[in-house]
Amino acid sequence: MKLARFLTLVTLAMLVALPPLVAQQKSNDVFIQNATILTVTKGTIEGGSILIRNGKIAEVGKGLKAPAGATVIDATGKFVMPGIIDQHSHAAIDGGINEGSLSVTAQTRIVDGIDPGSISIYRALAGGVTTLHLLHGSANTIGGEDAILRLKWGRTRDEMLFPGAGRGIKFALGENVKRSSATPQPGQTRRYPVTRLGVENVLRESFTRAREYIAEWDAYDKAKAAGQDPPVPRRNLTLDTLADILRGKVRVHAHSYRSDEILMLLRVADDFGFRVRSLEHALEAYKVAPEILKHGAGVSTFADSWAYKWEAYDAIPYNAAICLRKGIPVAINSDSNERVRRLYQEAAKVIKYGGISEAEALKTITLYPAMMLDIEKRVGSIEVGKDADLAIFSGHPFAPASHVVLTLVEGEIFFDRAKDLEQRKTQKASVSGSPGHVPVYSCDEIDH
Amino acid sequence: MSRKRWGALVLLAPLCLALFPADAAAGPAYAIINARIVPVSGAVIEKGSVVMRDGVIVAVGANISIPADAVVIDGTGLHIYPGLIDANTNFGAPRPQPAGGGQQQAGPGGQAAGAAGARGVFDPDTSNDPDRFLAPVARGISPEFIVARDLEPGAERLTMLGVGVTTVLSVPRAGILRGQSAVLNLCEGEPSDMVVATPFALHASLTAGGGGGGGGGGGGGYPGAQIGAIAAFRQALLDAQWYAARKAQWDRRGGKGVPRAPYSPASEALQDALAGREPVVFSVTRSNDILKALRLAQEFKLRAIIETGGEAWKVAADLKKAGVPVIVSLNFRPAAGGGGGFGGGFGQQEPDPDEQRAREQEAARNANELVKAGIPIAFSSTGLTNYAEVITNARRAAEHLGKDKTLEALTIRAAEILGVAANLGSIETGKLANLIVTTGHPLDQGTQLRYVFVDGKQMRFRAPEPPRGPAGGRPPADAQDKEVRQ
Amino acid sequence: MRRTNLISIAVLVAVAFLPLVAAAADPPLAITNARIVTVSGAEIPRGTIVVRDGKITAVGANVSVPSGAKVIDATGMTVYPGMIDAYTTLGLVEVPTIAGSVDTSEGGTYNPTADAADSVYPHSELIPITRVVGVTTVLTGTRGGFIGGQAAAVNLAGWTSQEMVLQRGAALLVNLPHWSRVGAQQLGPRPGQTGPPARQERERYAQQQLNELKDYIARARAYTAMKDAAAKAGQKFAVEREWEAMIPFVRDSRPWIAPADTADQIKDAIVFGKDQKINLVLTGGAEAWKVAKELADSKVPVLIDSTDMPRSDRDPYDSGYANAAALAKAGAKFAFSTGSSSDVRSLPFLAALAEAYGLTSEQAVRAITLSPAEILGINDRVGSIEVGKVANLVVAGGDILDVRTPIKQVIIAGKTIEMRSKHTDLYDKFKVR
Repeated sequence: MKLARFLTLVTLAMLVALPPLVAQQKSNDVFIQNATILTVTKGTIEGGSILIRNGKIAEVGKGLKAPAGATVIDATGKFVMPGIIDQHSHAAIDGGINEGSLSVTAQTRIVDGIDPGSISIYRALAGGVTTLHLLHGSANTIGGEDAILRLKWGRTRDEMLFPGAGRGIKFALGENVKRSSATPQPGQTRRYPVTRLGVENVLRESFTRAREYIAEWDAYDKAKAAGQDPPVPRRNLTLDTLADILRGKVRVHAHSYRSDEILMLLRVADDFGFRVRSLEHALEAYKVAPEILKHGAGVSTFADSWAYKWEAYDAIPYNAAICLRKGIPVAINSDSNERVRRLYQEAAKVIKYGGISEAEALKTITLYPAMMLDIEKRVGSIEVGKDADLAIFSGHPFAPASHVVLTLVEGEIFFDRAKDLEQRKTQKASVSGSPGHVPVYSCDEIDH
Repeated sequence: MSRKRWGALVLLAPLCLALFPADAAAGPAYAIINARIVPVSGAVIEKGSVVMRDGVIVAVGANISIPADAVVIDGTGLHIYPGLIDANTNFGAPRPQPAGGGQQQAGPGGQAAGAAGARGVFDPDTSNDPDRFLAPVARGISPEFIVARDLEPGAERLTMLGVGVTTVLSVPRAGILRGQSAVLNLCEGEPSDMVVATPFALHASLTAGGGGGGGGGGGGGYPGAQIGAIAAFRQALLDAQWYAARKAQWDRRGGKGVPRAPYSPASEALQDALAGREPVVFSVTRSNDILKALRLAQEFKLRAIIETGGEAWKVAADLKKAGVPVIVSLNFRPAAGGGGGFGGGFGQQEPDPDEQRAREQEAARNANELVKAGIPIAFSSTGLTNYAEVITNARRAAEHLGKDKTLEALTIRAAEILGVAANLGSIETGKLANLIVTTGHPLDQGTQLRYVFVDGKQMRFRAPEPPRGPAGGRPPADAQDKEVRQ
Repeated sequence: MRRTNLISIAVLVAVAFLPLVAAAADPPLAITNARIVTVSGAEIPRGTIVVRDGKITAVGANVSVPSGAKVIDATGMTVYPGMIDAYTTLGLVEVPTIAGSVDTSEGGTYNPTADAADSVYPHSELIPITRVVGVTTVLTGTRGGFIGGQAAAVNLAGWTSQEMVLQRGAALLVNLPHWSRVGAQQLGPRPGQTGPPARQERERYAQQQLNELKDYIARARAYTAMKDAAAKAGQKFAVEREWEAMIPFVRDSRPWIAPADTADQIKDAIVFGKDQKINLVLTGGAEAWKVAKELADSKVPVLIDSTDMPRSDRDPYDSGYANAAALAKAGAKFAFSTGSSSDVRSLPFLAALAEAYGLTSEQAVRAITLSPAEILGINDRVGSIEVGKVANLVVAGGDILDVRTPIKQVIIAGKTIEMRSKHTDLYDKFKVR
């Protein structure tokens, strides 16, 4: 009898003591509660919450409860949007963003030059950016292969490379390409081409050669398969990449300004059977929106920059609005380590110029750039099943007084303004420029 | 004996001597006795002797017999150490480096480099030739260049000896695939007399050189940027693999029924590196660049060695995982930052002094961090303008690493990494007689060099200038610098 | 007979006076039912502004609309003073890469006679695109050398530059020699080198240049003194145009605007300004937050751009955004400025970024209206909505710092501006394609 009572007491005691012990174990879950959620694809949820499990969005909605063990982020009064995707950046690249010595440098790869420790990454996170599309510069007609980075500040390069994002490459047309040969060394000629006509020739020549290269290798493979011993062709890394463009394995992102060169490129692409995935800058895209739509390219452009060079003189801030209304996906990009920090302000400008809706304006820095990079299944909106790449703002991202409070990539916090402010108490500000001074790379600083 | 016979003997004698030269035992022998000997490879001999003959150590020990014909040096109160090894220096490498076989200047009308002079009446401008951009020739690709064939040793040899360095790795100066290095003893005589081993390794970097980081703008050659240099590296190795495949096919078919395999000196020179028979030394500065080098090495299964500065500790785990030895520069000054002139209004900035100090201290600790992580290291003078800093900075490194381990890195570990441990790096019978005789531990302040032996011969040397302040100034006259050969 | 003559004369007289009547009868303008942000005083939640002959003649909650006035019903809208950018090259350049269109920098080291007032191009496409967002007034002038030129304060409306000019010679644009700027362009001693010896050489070089500039200023003062003395004594005086141009700046305290970004550059500039007894204004000011106290104590105003990047990895990521708040806290005077030509329309958004990082909305709006006017010494005429000031007004569909806010109507010098520009024209043309 006494034993039974004793055992009952013990069992009861355990039942009481155990749950708290269990609850004290933290799970991987993160629960963002009571925020205004800008889902981008499924409207706005007031007073909503997001459950993140294993780095993915597990639940979104009102009236959710934080599961036991979850890290709770109280976002009352705050706004959550998908992490911003900068579709055009030259951040975090060592040793030069341009291999500008030749007109075609498809053999180069931005991934080879990535510096994961660049402070630009942190500053972009502080502006709500979670993904950067890192591009070769615009010094030449065909540049190098690009890279897509998720901003996991403090991790290695490989941990930051966006998994399964596929390959892309940079083309450039117009003034930067012609101008790169501005000051040749004595005894040397200017780098070809110096006109837009030459740019077209470089493209056509390159892809014609690429076709021949494909044929050469096809013949080799065929002969081998037939049991012969053919001499192996020389692998040329430049032609390799060009061939892969023709095979549809490499997305093409083309820096372009004038409507005529945009049409030229689309025609070249049609002639050789590949698709231009996005036109970068494309400040005159609004003049040839029907053709761009027909080809199936997206437009990745500035909000309102113009007149800084001749080919930008007809640029208008309504570019995005005209293209969006036609049905062309439009991204607003930064092309700058400075502007990347405030893309949310830039995107709001398409509301001012052309009366685009808030939902579409948000897409220019989330879903549309994701689509241009083939990563829209994982990021670009707040939906169940997508990665928890999120930016939490103190107010609506488009409102003047708003700033970023937290930025998460795959459910982990990589920017925390409160922590940053705390750290400043112990860290001294610099006295002079440190060797790590970061320049503001953009397509127009062609020598960089 | 008749007068005639004596005369014949007299005439014949020199001939005999000429025909039958005195045997090897007639070469000079040195013995240093009653000295404290630090072999590095074994226990310290508090009082002992070293005997060397014909360039080789023939005996070491506490109680060894001294040959009667030896020149005896009384080492009482003195110390004998192995000569130090500088595992990466341009000493001896010719300047300017001859252009590699594959190099070609982008001149008008396709003129090759050096074809200056008479231009024809009509020289077509072929700048629009597609081959220029679809089949470019990269500069800085000269793996076939062998330093040992064109040695140009300079007068700094005497200063290097004066610091206690008797062996160096002489590396080619510039380029992406720079060429192949040689291990040299800093002896006198013909340049080729200095060569201990050649080639040691293929040397590589991630820049074509001359034009620094950034850009790759129009005027310069290809490649101008780091991503271009890496692409050129990759292409050169792919070309070497292609070359091997075509050659193999040619051989397999006895040269019948196949197109001729093209000869390429560069591709030929890369075969040993590709097969892992020859190490590839990557010269890089920033820790991020070390990772890039390791990736490239892994891509082509190269046997890598990293030659670098004070940031290596940041990636010690990756170095350990890759099993890669590191040649650590004794230049602790941080590399110049990303170039002044950026950021418009800021102008030319002075580096932050706190930042500079912190990085120098990190560089001093660097070697210890690497050794703690189990990474084999050697030291080099790369980047130093004042050679005396080899010792002063080694001393700073020793504050963390300890004097013994630092000395090992300067001697036996370096010899191991350079593949000459059978002959150098410690005081053992059978090894080459490279010795320094000092008044104390080489890393101790105030230690002076009394004798330096390279290949068993006593060397003249120039003692280093005492450390001076940042301002310039002529060094004081040097008491030990007697008949210094220029 | 006489009566017909009288009538004819009366008619003739009436006709003769008609133009005068017509001119005087430019109808007054009234903006009604608006929320009025005067900047100089309290906000008026709902009121009326009356404009007559280019000036504000009434502002208030209970202001009656004069008869015959053209009325803009601003129900639901907010009226602000026209925004002012105190440091631009607007009107002096069209496309920077087209040399023929560039007039932003003259040759020679001392150019006080380079007077922008007559060289602002009134028909630059950049002007309409700037004013339709509500920037009504800018300072524009040539930079370059040590004394770049005299900048003019202009309203962004007018058939000719004379019609635009609000104040000739409003400021002198200068560049103060500094060791950190020597060697940056591969000029001067030891380009590209750092370290104490190179730094010392650069300091010597810069000091030499600074001494030359000080000497120049001293000679300008000497000329001024001589001229004044001669006038007093009734003597003839040989006028020299170069020194004449300097008089307002060395004698009458018109502002000198000099770029200074680093803490060193700012501190050294402050010392120079005090030493030379000039009305110094700094522009750039990227590191002003590091020397906010010095700026407050010396009362040297700074024209800042919130988008400046921190100079070092170790500096706070938001140092540019929070710059204004730091200055406000220390009591230093500042205004926002783009320093641009084609991007002056971003002015309100610089203020918005600062509002997100510590500045109040009122402070932010003041820094693009009354503060720049005060710094340029034109606040008697512009910068706030007060009776007697020039009628530069912006009728906005909401908060002017909010990017999304449409600007409904801009008024410059009392005239309603046609709300079109090259950009709206191209939009209209191509949106139908």
